[in-house]
Amino acid sequence: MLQVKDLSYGKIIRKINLNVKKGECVSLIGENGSGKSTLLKCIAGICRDYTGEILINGENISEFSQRKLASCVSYVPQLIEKRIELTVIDFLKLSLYPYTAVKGGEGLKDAIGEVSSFLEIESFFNRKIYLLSGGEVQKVLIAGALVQGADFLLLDEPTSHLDVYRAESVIDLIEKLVKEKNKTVFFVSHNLEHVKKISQRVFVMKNGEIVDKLEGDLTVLTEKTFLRRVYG
Amino acid sequence: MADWLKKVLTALTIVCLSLSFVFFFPTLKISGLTSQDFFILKNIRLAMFLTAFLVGGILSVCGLVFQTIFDNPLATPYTLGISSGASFGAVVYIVFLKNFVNLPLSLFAFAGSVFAILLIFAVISAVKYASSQTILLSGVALNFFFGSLILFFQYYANQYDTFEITRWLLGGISTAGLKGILPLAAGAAIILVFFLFNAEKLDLFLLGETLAKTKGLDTARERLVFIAVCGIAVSVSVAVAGPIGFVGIIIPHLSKKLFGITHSNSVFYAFFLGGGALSLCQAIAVKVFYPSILPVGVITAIIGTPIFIYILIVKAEK
Repeated sequence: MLQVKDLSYGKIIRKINLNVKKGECVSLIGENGSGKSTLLKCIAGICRDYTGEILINGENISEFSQRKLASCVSYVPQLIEKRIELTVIDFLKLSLYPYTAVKGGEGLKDAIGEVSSFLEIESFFNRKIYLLSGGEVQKVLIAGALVQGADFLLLDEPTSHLDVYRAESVIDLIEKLVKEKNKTVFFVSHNLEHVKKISQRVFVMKNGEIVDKLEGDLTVLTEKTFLRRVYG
Repeated sequence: MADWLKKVLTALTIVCLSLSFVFFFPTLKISGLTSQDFFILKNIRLAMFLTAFLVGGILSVCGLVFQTIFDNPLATPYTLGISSGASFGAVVYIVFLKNFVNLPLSLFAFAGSVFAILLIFAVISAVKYASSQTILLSGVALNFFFGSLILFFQYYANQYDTFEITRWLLGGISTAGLKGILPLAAGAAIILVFFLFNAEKLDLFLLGETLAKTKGLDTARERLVFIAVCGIAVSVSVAVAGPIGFVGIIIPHLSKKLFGITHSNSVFYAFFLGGGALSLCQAIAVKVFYPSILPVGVITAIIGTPIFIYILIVKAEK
């Protein structure tokens, strides 16, 4: 289970409290600049000087090394910040870095093969990442996140730069990860249809705070209700 | 061909080629050798080319590491002020101490470069978020600082000391026989083993700061460790051979271009390519105005500048 208690990070997020159970798919929605990505980055260990607590299975992640944290939590960013000239297979091998900290060499060979087969990315193993299309990059980043061996996946707007067809296939993939691989997914999205399709719960953020929570029947979540929840 | 075999054969080829310079430069000596010839071959030429090889290897590996950890294709082993710190140490010795202290210049050069590294770490510890840009800019500032002090002391110095300073700043492979090679060999062995062992961490830096952290790399800590290791190795190199430019920026690019960007390959090949390249430059330096020996830094600058400009143009086009 992931627990966030009174989490604050500068003026960007304030006193966030939430929890995500194992095997859940939870979404985070809100206007631009509400602190969604920053919240994910705090959980992923990219932003470390927050106040409050983040617990994974009861353990405070502030005491984790970066490597140990990466073995528990995988993060897929919205954008890659630099041109990556590594090939896909080299990237996947590097993604094993946190995995090997926990499991040593056990199952190493199978880890990449299994994930690649599941995501159907074997055909571009030897291609350089910067030469892939947007959809292919997302699949590779998700593959890297899975290879890490972490049970919690944090996805920051995984479909924002994709066309409709590829966006749908990534959403279907996330749904499969939750149902077939028992992964826990916490993802940020602006697309309410995607949110409704795969999430069990939704948190709404505004001005760095969680202003609303939805669970159960998410069909009530339309643009109109969303706007009302965010803007009152 | 198996990867390890390819590495061994390439390394052996470059080493043999570099060692062959001992017999060919500046003049051919392969037969009818007298005891004097053996003395020259062993204590002067072999020492000279071994020194060049080790210095070239150290600068190339450290240049490669700096380019990776700072994500800057123009980073050099001297970017953090290590070379200018060593130059400052050498200048202080030449202008103020050489007539009073019975210690070698190289020791003061080494002390100067270590002082520069300590200053960089002092800046890093004073800043809350020491990004790679902050560290790089601190190095640029140190370069200016030491450079201005060197200019001041050069102005203050007499003509003989000024000439000695100028010669030192050009860089040159002078020899202290084979004994002088021991600290260089130790430095070379340490950086080669250390960075091959940490090749995976260096590869993670290639993903960018954010993605590297999400894959478990403590980028801030590892960057500092790598700076410290490179700093000591480059300090030894500069103390022995003075500041020799361009090897540390060009050879990493060549190594990556020829052998790939993953560091298990590029570190290994950068070392041997750099060693071979500087040995070749040293061979040219002893031959071109024989019996005078040109400072090897002049040769690396003449050859390196057009290559450097080419890299700039290619990177800009990309």
